[in-house]
Amino acid sequence: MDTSIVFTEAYYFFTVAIMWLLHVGFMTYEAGVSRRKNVMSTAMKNIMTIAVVTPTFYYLGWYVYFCMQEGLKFTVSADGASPAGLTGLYFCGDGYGLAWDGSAGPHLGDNITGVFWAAFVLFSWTTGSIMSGAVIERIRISAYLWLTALMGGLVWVVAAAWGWSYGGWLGVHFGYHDFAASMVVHGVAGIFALGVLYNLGPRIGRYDSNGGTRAFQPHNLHLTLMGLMIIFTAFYAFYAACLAITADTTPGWANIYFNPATLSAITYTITMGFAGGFAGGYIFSKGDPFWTISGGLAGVVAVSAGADIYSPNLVLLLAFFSAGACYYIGGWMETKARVDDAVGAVSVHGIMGMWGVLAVGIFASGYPTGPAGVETSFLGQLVGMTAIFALSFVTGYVASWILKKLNLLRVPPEVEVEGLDMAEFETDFYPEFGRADEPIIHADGSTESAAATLRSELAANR
Amino acid sequence: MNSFPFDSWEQGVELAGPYFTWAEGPVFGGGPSMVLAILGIAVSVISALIVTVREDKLLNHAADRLADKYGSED
Repeated sequence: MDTSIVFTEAYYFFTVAIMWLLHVGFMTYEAGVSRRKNVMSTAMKNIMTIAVVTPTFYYLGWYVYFCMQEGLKFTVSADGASPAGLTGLYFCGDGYGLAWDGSAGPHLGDNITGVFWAAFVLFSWTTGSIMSGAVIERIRISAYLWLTALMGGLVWVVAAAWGWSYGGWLGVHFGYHDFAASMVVHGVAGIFALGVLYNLGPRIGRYDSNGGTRAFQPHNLHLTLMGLMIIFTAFYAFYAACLAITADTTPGWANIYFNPATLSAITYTITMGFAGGFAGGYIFSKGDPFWTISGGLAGVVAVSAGADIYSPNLVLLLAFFSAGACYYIGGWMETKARVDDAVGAVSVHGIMGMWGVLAVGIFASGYPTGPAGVETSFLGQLVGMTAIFALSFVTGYVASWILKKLNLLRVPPEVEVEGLDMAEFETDFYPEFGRADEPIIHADGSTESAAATLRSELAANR
Repeated sequence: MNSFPFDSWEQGVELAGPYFTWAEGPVFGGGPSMVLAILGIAVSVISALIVTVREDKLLNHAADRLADKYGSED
């Protein structure tokens, strides 16, 4: 057997294994952000994400990825060629991607499909986990699972087919370039979550009647910081899995559009991106721990689209100022737009994802992308961002609206005030520790026990 | 049950392309695996419905119980 095939197989396998840490990190991060009374409900969402997104992607998403690259209709062709005339890597039409096709299981002649499929599954979980943090402490677990199945198994896959594939119409016609998925993973998840948040509404007590914003305190901020550091570790594998390995391309690596790239380039980008992001987060938030570490994530999301081609000098600056912008945008969304996003996912992933693809149009305009070498442009990036924004927001909004109308989106207000864990699991997960008064921080900065405020807001909610 | 569809492992390797679970032969497609896929989809959908209905009951039960606690002090 060709040893390069075995290397490719092993390469993707280990990126998948390391990417698991993304979900360890997301669970840890979100459990830390939640209040004591909601810890297990929050963590359970992350576990069950894997249970629902994996089969959804296996049965539906993988086929969609190969067969919806031309738009919203399936473009099946018997000879495996796309209507745009692309051949070779355009698999739709020969059954590839279907759960009962020979490639979707043990196959001695195909070492690659399984590990490549698994890398995509891990990306799918990631979209769900990004939304998961935004909606904590009031969404029903089942509602979240329906929504994450839709997004992880279908919505982001359509976006990837359009803008993160060899034959996608955004790349073929517009030179759309989104190397490490600023928009097709982060942007999709953040904007889908925004659509959901409009129907879900804020947590009880989050806003006062005068328009002021109250804050809840994370039950364990150290856990949150550790979770994000675990996520950052796994991000290296996420980046690595965005590379394709081709035997006939020097030096053997390519981006998802099959243009030459190097592992070394993306290593520069992610490392400098974290450094710039942490620094920017710290400076602009005046040392706030949550926004310092979230700044690192925001910085990397903002440079991911051009991670294969950016100069590290540019990356540091882009990440620094993107982290600062993310801090202010997150604050505006929280206090002015009154979007109660518990972890800042909309600004960190959604807005930074959108900015990330536009930045490629500014800083890497003219770079050839895709099989035909179409030049990347600001307009092309704008078209891609707009199309994927619309896809993500509309599907998130409509799906959550349906669940809301069925009274299946949000937990009852009494349960929310009491805590989701006691209702969902009928037990206290910290039995040795009594429940201390829950603090709440008012708009004027004063802190007091939340009990009276929550009871008052609960009465107003009835 | 012996579902290995070849006379020997060497023969399977030589044919390079068989699907060993409930295989029909070197060229796979349809048949038992499609049935298994449909069953898997059905189990997934039914499981999601069960989770939804079960959680709805749990939450409504808890809301009824808590309504007295919170309602009495309104």
